[in-house]
Amino acid sequence: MPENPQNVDQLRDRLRALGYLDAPVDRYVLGSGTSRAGAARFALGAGLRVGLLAGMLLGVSAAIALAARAPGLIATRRDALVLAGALSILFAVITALAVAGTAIAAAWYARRAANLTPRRARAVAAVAGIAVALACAIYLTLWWNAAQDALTSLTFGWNAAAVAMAALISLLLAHAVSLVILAALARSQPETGIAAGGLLSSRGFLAAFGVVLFAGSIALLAAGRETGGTDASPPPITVVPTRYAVRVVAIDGFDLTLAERLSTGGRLPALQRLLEGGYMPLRPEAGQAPDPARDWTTIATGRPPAVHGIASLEARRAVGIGGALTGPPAGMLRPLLYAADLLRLTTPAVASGVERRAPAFWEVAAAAGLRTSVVNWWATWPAPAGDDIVITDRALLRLDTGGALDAEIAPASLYEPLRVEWPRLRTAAAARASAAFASIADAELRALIVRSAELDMLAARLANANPGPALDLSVLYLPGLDIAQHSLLQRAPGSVSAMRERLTAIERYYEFLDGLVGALLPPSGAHIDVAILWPGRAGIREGAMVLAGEPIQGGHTICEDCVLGAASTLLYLLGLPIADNLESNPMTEAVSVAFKERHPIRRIASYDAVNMRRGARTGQPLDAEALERLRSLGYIDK
Amino acid sequence: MSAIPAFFREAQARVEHALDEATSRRPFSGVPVVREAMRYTLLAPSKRVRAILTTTACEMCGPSTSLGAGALPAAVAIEMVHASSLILDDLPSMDDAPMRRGRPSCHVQYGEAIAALAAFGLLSEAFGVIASAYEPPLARGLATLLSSAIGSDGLIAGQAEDLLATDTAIDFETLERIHRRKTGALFSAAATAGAMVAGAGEDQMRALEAYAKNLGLAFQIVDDMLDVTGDPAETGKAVRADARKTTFVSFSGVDGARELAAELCRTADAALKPFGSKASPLLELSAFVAARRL
Repeated sequence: MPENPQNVDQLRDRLRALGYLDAPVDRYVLGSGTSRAGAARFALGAGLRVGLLAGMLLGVSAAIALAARAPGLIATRRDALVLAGALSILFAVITALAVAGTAIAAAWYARRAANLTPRRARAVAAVAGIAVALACAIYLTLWWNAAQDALTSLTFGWNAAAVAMAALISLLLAHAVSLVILAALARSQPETGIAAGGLLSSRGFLAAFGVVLFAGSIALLAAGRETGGTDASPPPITVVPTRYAVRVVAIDGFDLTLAERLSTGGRLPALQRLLEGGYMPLRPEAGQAPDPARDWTTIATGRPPAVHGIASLEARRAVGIGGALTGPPAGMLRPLLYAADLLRLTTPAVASGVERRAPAFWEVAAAAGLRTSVVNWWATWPAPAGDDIVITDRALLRLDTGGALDAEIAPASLYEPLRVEWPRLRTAAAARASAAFASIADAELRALIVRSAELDMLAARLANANPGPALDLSVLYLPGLDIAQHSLLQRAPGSVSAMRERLTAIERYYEFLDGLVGALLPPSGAHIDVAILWPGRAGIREGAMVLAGEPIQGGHTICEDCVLGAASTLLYLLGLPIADNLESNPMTEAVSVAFKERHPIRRIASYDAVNMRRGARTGQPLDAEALERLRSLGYIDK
Repeated sequence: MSAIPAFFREAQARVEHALDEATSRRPFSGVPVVREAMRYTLLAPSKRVRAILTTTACEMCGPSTSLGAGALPAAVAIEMVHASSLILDDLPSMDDAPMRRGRPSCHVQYGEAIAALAAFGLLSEAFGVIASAYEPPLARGLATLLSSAIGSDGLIAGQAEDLLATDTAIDFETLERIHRRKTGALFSAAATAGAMVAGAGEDQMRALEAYAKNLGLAFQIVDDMLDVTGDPAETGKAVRADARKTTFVSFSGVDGARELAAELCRTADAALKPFGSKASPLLELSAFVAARRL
């Protein structure tokens, strides 16, 4: 005979089991569990129903956290829905199998247990339910903690609401699992009179356990965070004018040794002016293969790849999701993404600004109200909407292709005049490049060099596309040298004379670049000129940031990890505060004492005030074309 | 005393009139005392909850509230079955209850033998009313419904188990089974009969069954409470009559029983959501049951 209910809670549970009162969760979980279906059929049915419940509750939570851990994965609302759906299915299947297996095991145990009493059955079900609740609460809290680290700090109220939701989800699943196990035990030994109910059906216990879960989750969340959330809005970024505008030219694939030799011979006068000024060594991280998107984003943000989010040029885009994942999969994502590759659920893509989660120095300057322009820098597409000039790494492709703008250029008003003028600019660039390298006898070699020179000339031309007031900061990235060197040196030529011809062509390219730099950075008392000379794929272990201008004194900065200091140094020279969370301080050894006295380093808690939102993609997409162009330029393996 | 809803008074009046007509209009040549005993219990002051459930369910399931009148014969039959069960329940061989509906029980008034005959008379009249009021297919369906509610798996089974359980400790499931058969079965039959007369669909039937099931148990729990706390002047029957029996109050105490009755009524109300505003009378009915003092 079943034990009689001892209190109203138990009475309520028994009534629910008999079909009275409203117990939608119990009815849903047990389904036809009161019928005479076999143990396996009952276990599978209940497992499926609990799995669906878990899928809906945990899949969405996991999607929120995964989106935060993998910035850029979700680009649109549709992406969020697809990801949530996929993770819901994953959790549903895993939970369904686990619950069905547990229910079958419980039935097996009940058939063999000689001393199974109602009390023991309820204890077994309660222990299983409590284990599920604890595991679920810890899992959800850790996910939430990870999501917060990657996204932003939230107020205590939001954290409390999220943790309360985690506690409720945990209780619901715990109750469901406990119910299934109790039902499986009862069905296997009907003569023992195991009745519905138990610890995890008791309102009193659920309320108390819910409070414990909530408090535990809050403690876990607090322990996992270095600092608590804050209600304060991000600090505004203010600028103290320095009288100087900053012009930055970034040259990829630069060999400092060769440049210094050419410079000594007087062949690089413009670069020599910079090399004789301030000097800050930039060293690629040892043991890492060069990756332009990752390395140039590190330089631009002053944050390591783990923080800025661009782990590699190549990314993966999941079927049905507009966003992308960059870098090799890590941790729990690894098996999932390998499986997705095998199933052709992912396709290659190019890293973009969507995946970047730290502001570049030009974005910080723009947020402070300075007028800025950036041209052709890696992972700048899609350009944010606004008045500041962003001619992204896809702008040349758009101007070559034509069609509706897809956030390749901002402000969008720049596009139409450039598009109209583009054929003429192309022709002029081709003519000047051909003329500059006419002395190269080998036609194939000349074509390679001319193609790179054309790219650099067009980028330099775009840097002049400023119809507005004078710029406080202009930034230009020149990829031609890296592309040319990579094409020429990736396969050794068959003879010494051929090698000599290639080296001569490269030296000629340095002279060509010097001419461009001279035109872009004519000596001026109103500017600080900066060249970022990065080894790129040339296989050299040191690059440099060189500076020239009135407040710059000759000096060699000694630093171990100057790559991370480039951005903060540029921000300092612009009169901007330095964020506490930047990995490196400004390198001020090259700056005059007078400038340093007038402009001591100012600090700010963070650059959270920078709006990192990308522009809306409304035009004709060039995703496939961008990938193909990078292949043709040797950045991505064919 | 809780306020009786306005619609309830009107419906009560219609049912009373129909019961009076059903037991007086037809030519009678039998022994007057049996008919008198039948009418004595049938027409005694009563809430007519079951009959009103039948007519209201019919009105809710149909396109027009005038349909309720069409369900009156079914409501009369339900009330006759109920009155019959009360007479039998009160007999000395069963509960031996001296009072019912504020007056002496039928067997106290007319003797045990006449009371038994009156009970069987009411039972057979119930089926006669249905047979004469409805077309054969509906009449057959209603007769089957009533027979199931009364038969060896219904009222009779509940009464038998109740008698056997007197002075015996019973478990909760047994108590529920007794109540389900003694009270719940006729509540469910009342709602279903109304729905059948209206030609209701399966979903409406299921919703009304869920309503009646929960309301029936709430009604019984309140009965158990009133047996402990009620005033004989209000309830119309002796208190502590169930002292020798296990009741819901035995398991939950009076406060717990009150809480559960209210929850059951809320659940009953929730089952009526598909009916929308048409469900208002039954919502009032459940509110009345939850708060009743008689």
